[in-house]
Amino acid sequence: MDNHHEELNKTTGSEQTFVPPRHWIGPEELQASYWSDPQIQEQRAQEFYEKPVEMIDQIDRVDSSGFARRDFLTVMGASMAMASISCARRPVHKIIPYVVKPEEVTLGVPNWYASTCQECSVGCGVLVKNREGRPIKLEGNPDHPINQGALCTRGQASLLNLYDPDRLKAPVVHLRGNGSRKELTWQEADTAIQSQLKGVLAKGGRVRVLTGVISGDSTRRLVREFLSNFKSGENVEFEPLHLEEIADAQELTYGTSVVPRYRFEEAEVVLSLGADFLTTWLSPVEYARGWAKKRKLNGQNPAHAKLSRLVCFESMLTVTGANADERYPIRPGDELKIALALAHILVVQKKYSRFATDSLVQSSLSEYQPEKIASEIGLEGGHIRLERLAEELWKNRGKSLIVGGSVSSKTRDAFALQIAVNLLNSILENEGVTVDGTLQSGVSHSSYASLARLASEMQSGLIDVLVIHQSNPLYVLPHDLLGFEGAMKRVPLIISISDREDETALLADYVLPDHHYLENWGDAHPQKGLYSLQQPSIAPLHSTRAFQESLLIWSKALGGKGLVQSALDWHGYLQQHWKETVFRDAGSTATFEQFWESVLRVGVYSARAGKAKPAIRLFRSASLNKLPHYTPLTAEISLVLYSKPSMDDGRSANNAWLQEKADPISSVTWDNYLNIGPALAKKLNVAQDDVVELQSEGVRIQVPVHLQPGLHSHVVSVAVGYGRRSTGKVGNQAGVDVYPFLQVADQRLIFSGRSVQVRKTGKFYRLAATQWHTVTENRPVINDITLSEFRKNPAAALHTDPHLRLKEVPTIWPKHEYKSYRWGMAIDLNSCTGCGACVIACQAENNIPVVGREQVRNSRHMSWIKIDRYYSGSPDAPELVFQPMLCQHCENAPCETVCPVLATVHDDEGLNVQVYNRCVGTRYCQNNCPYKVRRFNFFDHWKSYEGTMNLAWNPDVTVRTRGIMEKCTFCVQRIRDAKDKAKDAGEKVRDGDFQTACQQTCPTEAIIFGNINDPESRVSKWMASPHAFKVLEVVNTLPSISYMTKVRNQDKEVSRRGE
Amino acid sequence: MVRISGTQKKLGVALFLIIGVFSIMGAVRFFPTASNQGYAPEQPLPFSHKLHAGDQKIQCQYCHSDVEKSRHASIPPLNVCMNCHSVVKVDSPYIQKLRKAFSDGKPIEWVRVHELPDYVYFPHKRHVAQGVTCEACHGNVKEMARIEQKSALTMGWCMECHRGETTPPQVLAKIYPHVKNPRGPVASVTCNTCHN
Repeated sequence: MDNHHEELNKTTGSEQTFVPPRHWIGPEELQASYWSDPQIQEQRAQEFYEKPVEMIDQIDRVDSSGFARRDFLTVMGASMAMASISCARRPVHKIIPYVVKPEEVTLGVPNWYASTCQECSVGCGVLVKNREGRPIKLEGNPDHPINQGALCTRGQASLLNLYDPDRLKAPVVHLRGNGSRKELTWQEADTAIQSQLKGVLAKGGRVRVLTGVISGDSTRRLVREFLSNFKSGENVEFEPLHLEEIADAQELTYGTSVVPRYRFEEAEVVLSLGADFLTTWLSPVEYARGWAKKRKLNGQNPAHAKLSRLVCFESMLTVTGANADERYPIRPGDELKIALALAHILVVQKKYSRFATDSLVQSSLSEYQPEKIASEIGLEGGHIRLERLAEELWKNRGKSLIVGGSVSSKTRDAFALQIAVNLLNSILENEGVTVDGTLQSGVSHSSYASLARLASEMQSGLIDVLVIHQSNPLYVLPHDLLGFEGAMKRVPLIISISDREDETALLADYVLPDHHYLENWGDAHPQKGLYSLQQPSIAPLHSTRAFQESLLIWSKALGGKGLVQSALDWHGYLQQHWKETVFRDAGSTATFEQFWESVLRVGVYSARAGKAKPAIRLFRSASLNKLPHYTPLTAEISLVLYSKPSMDDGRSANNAWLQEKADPISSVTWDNYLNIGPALAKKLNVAQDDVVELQSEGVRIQVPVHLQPGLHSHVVSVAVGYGRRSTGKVGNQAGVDVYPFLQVADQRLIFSGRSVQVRKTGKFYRLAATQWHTVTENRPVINDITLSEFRKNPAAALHTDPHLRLKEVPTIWPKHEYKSYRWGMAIDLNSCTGCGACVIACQAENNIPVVGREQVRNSRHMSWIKIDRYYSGSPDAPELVFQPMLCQHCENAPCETVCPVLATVHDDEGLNVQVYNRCVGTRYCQNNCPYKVRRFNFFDHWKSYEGTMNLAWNPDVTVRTRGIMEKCTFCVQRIRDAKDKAKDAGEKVRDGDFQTACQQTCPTEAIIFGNINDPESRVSKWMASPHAFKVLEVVNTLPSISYMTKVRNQDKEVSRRGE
Repeated sequence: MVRISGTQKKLGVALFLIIGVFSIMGAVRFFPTASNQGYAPEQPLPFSHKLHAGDQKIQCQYCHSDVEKSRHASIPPLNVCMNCHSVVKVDSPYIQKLRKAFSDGKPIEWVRVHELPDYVYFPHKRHVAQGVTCEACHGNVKEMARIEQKSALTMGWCMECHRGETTPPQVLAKIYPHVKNPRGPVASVTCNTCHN
């Protein structure tokens, strides 16, 4: 096995000189003897721990084996008794029809509603699939210009938040004196609150509303109108991860406080300085889709194939870095130096652009010599690499794009970094081309400074009422930072409108349960001239009330002026606002009702005509005065805090789908951990799963270690958003809260760059990582070449085995016949970013259960589609490739031939079918599957779904019970629905009539599904491309899935091949 | 040499007996209940299909209105009952119970008669579209004062029809329009037609 690659080379070597890179899963694999070690071989060949669950921990410790006899008898006796009881007569079931059936409902047929995702403030459009009045799946709205049909991991998972059993279900009052808690009716709560508000109004008191970033104009207007009742009222918006420095730097350098729109779809070279724009930065779905447009090789002539380039400098290995053609690990804060070094090369050394004659620019850049910076950082390839990069950027000026800054690069220099990024974009003439500063919608920004001001006002007893909504400063802010907790005690009335009693709400006088966004009206204004509507798709599940409704009711009680006076309720308010603004500006000849209906149906209204060319803004050189002086970083170990694509700031920590989603890079579920690069780990003498203590100026936190290749040797990193104290059963105490490491400088939160000490504690904590689950034991499954190799021979990396070159490989099985359809899939490894949105989409669509941390450790993770991540190159600066692995629906399926009860069979449309009611759980099929994509139900996992969570099941898919096997079905229920529709119309299913769940949500359109019997279908065309390959072709299973070879746009000099 | 004490022996025998008894009970109870054929439970209201569909000749689809649109035939909501019973037979005590349920907004909880396991996907829509009559599976509902499960509704029973063995002649004729005495399969018998 060890020499597999070499064998392959021997057989194909006579024709090509291509040397495939060696792919590895974990750094331990790089030891030469790894895969020849029989112990390792046995361990890795095992798919599961075979021992009873409750004993695994002991077994791990004292290598005892076997089953306690007494326990066995107890268990068997009990289960026999159970089995015979369950055979009693079929239970009586009731049918409860509607009293008055809503006209639009047909039982068994879904309704779709267009709405707007409110999981973050981007404002992506969603289509909500409703069955019998309950949302069961979210999909991106294809008519929405922001996300264009795709949805991210969090958007997909936000459905589960609706059904979270830990949601607050009735208003609550906390009595300050004795700390007691009492539930109220809404009327009691309103009466009490209104009388206190009236008192505040009468004495001319101060009212503050603390919210997250508000994405809708009408909500913002309502808050403003509510506040205008009082003598002093102010809305403070605060979200911890918001990149406020971007707009601030834009204002300084260009004079307008905007968050520009970045046109990745037009950039030939993208340079990212720490900005993880593919999963967490600003508007990731939009940007991922834009970027992927330039990464598609299908349909191009290989000899002249074109591909954009992505170069990354980052302190944490992010999804963006993983997809970069060139990636350089740096320390937090180095982003600025790289940016200025590049500017130095361009303007000072090469005298390019109009800035070459600008003495202020020249002098500001003078101390940032690339040689000095490259050697300080220890940059691979040295300053020559920077010079090459600068030259490349200059060559592509107007067609390149520099982006920078995210949570992991929020250091003291975060603001300066944005100035430098703007400078680079202006030097390279990207401003006004790939950077569009004219589409700002007036969405407001989170501001730490205003939160700090609020805290000091509260501290000095100036604030009479504080209303909190979707902001959780007590979880985020370290105790000593603003003293927010103490300050809250000095506010006489605190009302928290929240979906749960979170850390901040626990200190509020009143906690009023808020609607989930799928229960509420609303709007968003993501870009200039782009308005998105949010409509409820389910009646409130609990006695909750929208934040806006509460403000409206109170405003009315206070005799408020403006729209609050005329609007009956929040829905009416929203309509009235639209009538006065969007409808008025639309100049439509329709009545408002018609206009409203039509926008509601589509979900979005665009007032933008055609594709306007953005104006070029002038860079103000004077802003360079704000650049810091060059100071070398001295910290031995710098701490990077970062946000995970699934967890963000921790707001949805109670979402089990997100908690169990394997991280794209580390593959760890359920916890956060300290990422340490191999070199530093060796120096500190720590290993995977060691618990270490992080210490910095009095802050001490214990956290388990994950060995993460690709980090700078002076950097450790850990994700925020974990260790919630009050969010619910799922999220409480999952992971470690690292927000205490936050600092503040210049009225901004500082996440990264803090110097820390790492000390071993001697304790261990087993992280639930999936990376070694279901491995293919070092068999080559990935094809990975460079663009120049691709141009010479796109099939260079194909694992061709000589005997497979026979036209027809002999097989002992009769051939299947496909008379009408044959379903197949093509996956483009080149544009798959590994973000994992498909994993959650599949989970929601196919009722895939959550198994919990302990079962993930036992290798019983249930995801039907798993994103495998492979490294190549050196562990210090590896290259990565992601491979979505799912049932390959083989033509010669090894699982089918070993099933003793024919529970897995081939159907006449090429699907490999798993029949749950036939399966007896021998697991032979799983054992015989070379792709390791079959999942076994060791338990009745569905039983962990409590109360309202059961409403999230998809009624078209069987919920599987204990003891049976399951796997990807190619969304057979969607195939069936499509065929049903086609039959109704008397036609055949056409290409593109339906999409599988994974394909539908993919931000980069990396998955294509369709009928491969039809040579004109997109999937057939993809499969016919020269760089398409089947995984493990040598075993002649003839999969129905083809993968497109990963192609990296890098030349020999940069390529790490052969190291 | 393993020594077995008297208590252990007794325990062993007892265990053997317990397991044996449970297995037999399980087996006996399991097999006869594989089908619910003949099941005709009492309903909360003595609704008579004989009266409605038989004597009054009301079309099935009037009440089971989703049968052509959906996998479910659907049990009518109360407002459909009230279309007639706001004027018809209003003095009957049962209709008064019905009217009260309607005005209180409390649905009637009918006892389910025809029930397939959760792992079976059965679309009424496709079957009706192929010309399968209601009676083909549900029996002569027009004669039933209390609704009863006439057919076995077991997998074998489904397959016989899908293979063309018990298929109603009009359905066979529709699928084989140019054959004189049509025989043969009429519908897919792959597992995932019904199970997924």
